[in-house]
Amino acid sequence: MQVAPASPDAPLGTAAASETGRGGRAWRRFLATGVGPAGAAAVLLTLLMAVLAPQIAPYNPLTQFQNGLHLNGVPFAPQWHGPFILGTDDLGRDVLSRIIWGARVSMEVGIGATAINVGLGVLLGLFAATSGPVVENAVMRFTDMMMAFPFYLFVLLLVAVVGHTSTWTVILVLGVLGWPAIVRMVRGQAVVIRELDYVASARASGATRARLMLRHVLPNVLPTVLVYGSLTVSSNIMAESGLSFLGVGVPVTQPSWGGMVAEGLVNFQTAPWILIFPGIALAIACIGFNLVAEALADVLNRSVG
Amino acid sequence: MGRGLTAYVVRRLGWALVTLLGISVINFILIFAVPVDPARMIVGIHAPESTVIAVRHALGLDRPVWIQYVLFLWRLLHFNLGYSYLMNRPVTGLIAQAFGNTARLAVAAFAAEILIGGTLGYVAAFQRGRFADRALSLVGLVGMSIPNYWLGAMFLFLFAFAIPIFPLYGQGNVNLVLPALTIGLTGAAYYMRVLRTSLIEIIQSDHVRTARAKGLGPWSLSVRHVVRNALIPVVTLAGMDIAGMLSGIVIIESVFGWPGIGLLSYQAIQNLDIPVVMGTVLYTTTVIVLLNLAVDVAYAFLDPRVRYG
Repeated sequence: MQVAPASPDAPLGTAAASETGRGGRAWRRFLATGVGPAGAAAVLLTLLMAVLAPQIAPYNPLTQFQNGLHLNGVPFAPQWHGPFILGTDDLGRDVLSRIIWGARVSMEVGIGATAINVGLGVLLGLFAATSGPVVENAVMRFTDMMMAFPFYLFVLLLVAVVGHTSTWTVILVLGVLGWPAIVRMVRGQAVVIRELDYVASARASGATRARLMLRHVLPNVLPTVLVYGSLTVSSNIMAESGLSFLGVGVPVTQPSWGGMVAEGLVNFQTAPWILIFPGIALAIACIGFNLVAEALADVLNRSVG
Repeated sequence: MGRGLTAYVVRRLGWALVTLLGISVINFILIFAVPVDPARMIVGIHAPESTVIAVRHALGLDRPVWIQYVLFLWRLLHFNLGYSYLMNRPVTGLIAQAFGNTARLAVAAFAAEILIGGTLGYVAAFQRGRFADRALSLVGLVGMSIPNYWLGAMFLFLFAFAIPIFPLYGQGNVNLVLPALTIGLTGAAYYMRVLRTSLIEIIQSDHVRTARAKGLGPWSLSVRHVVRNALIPVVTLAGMDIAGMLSGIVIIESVFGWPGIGLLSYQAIQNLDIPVVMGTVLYTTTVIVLLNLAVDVAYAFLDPRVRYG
C-alpha cells in the first residue's frame, strides 16, 4: 500500500511499509525497553489463561466440592501439594480454577469493550476533524457533555435500564460509554495532521472526505490509537472487575476476578486467600497492558497521557 | 486581568448553564426509559388499581411529558428534588447528609494524593533519568494498575483485622485513614507523573535558567510565568479528580461502608428509587460542570492566551 512519502516534517510512522529494516528496528527497540517484554509476557499469560482455560484449569470452576470445606465450613487454605493449590472459597470451589477461568471474562470484556471504544472513537474523531468547524464544535461539545457524566453512575444506570446482565451487556455498556476519551485524542491528533502540507494539498486537489480520512489522516493517527488502545484494555478490565465487585457485572455463573474479590471481602476473617489472589491476577493483567502501552509509546515516539 | 478575564468567565458560565440544562433533559429522558411505574412502586404490589391511579394523579404522572419536565425544572430551581420512594424523606436532605461524608473523604483522599504524589514527583523530577526516577515511574505504574477496591479490602484485612490498628467500621476521623490511604496510593501515581513533568519543565526552562544565572530571586516575572504554565496540567488533573471524588466513589464507599453519595446512588439505583437517582445524577453532573468551569477559569488566570479562545 502506498502511504504518503516520508519527509522531515511528516510525523513518525508515515514511512512506507516497504521500507526495509524499519520493522526489525521497531521490534528491537521494543525489546530494548525493559518494560515492554515484561508487559507483553503478562499480557500473554493472561491471554493464554483465558483461551486455554478448559485445558489448564484443574477443576470445573463452578463445582462446589463436598470435600472442599473443613467440617466446620471453613474453606481450605492454599496447599502446594494438596488437591486445591490455591485453596477453596466459601462454597467449596477451587480458587485456582476460578482464577484461570476469570481471565476469560476479563479478556472478553477488556478487549471487546475496547474494540467498540476504539471503533466508535476513531470514526467519530476522524469525522469531527474532517468536517467543517460547526460540525466539529458540535461533536466536541457533545463529547464534553458525555464526559461530564460520572462514569460509574452512568454504567449503573444503564445496566439498570437494560435489565438482566450478561457478559455482552457489560461489553456493550462499557464500549458505548468509553468512546469520549478516544474521540478527544483522535480528533486532537487529526487536527494537527490535517494542517500538514501534504494533507492540505490533497484537500486542495479535491480529495473526498473519505479518502482524506482513510488514506492520509488515519495511518498517522494509528500509532497513538494503538497506545491508547492498550491503556483502554487495562481500564476496561478494571471497570468490569469493579462492576462485578458491586454485583452488577457479569452474571454470577461466570467466575470473575472482581466478583471473587467481593467474596473475599466478606470472608477475609476466615479465608483471606479468596481476597488476595484475584487482586494479584487483576494487577498483573492491568500492569501488563499498561507496560505494553508505555513501551509502544516509547517505540513510536508518542507521548502517553 | 480586567475585562478579558471577566468576559471569559461570563462566557464559560453561560456555557455551563447550557450544559446543565442539556443534562437535565438527558436525565429526565433516562428516567422515563426505566421500566418502572413510580406510583406502583410507592403503593406496593398489593394495592388496588384505583389507589395506583390516585397516587399517579397526585404525583402528576398522568400529565403530558413536557408539562412534567417544566414542573420538574420549576421544582429544581427551588431546590426541591422530590421525596425518596423508599425512605419517604426529601431527597435534598438525603443528598446533603451523604455529601457531608463524601466531602470529608474527598478532602482526606485529595490531601493524601497530593502529599504522596507531590513528594514522589518532586524526587523523580530532580533525579530525572537516574535509577530513582525510573524506579518511581515503575512504582507509579503499579499503583495505577492495582484495583483500588482490592487495595482497600487488603488494608481492611491487614490493618483492621490481622494487625488491629484501625476499627473495621464507623465514620469517625480515624476511619478516614484507610479509605483515604487507599485512594491516595492509587491516585498518587497520576499526580506524581504530572508534577514530575511540570517540575522538569520549570527546571529546564530557559527563563528559569537565565533568571538564576542573573541571580534573580525565585519569584521574578519570568519564573512566575513558567510556573503558571507548568501548573496547567496539574490543575486539569486536580479538577477532574476532585469532581470524581465529590461525586462519590461508589466502590471505595462500598468496601468501607462509608455512607456517602456513592453508596446512596448505588442503593437508589438498585432499588429503582427514582427521585433519589435523579437527584444524585443531577447533583453529580452539576458538580462536574462547576468544577470544569473552575478549571477553565483557573486556566484563564494562569495562561492569558486562553481568554481569547
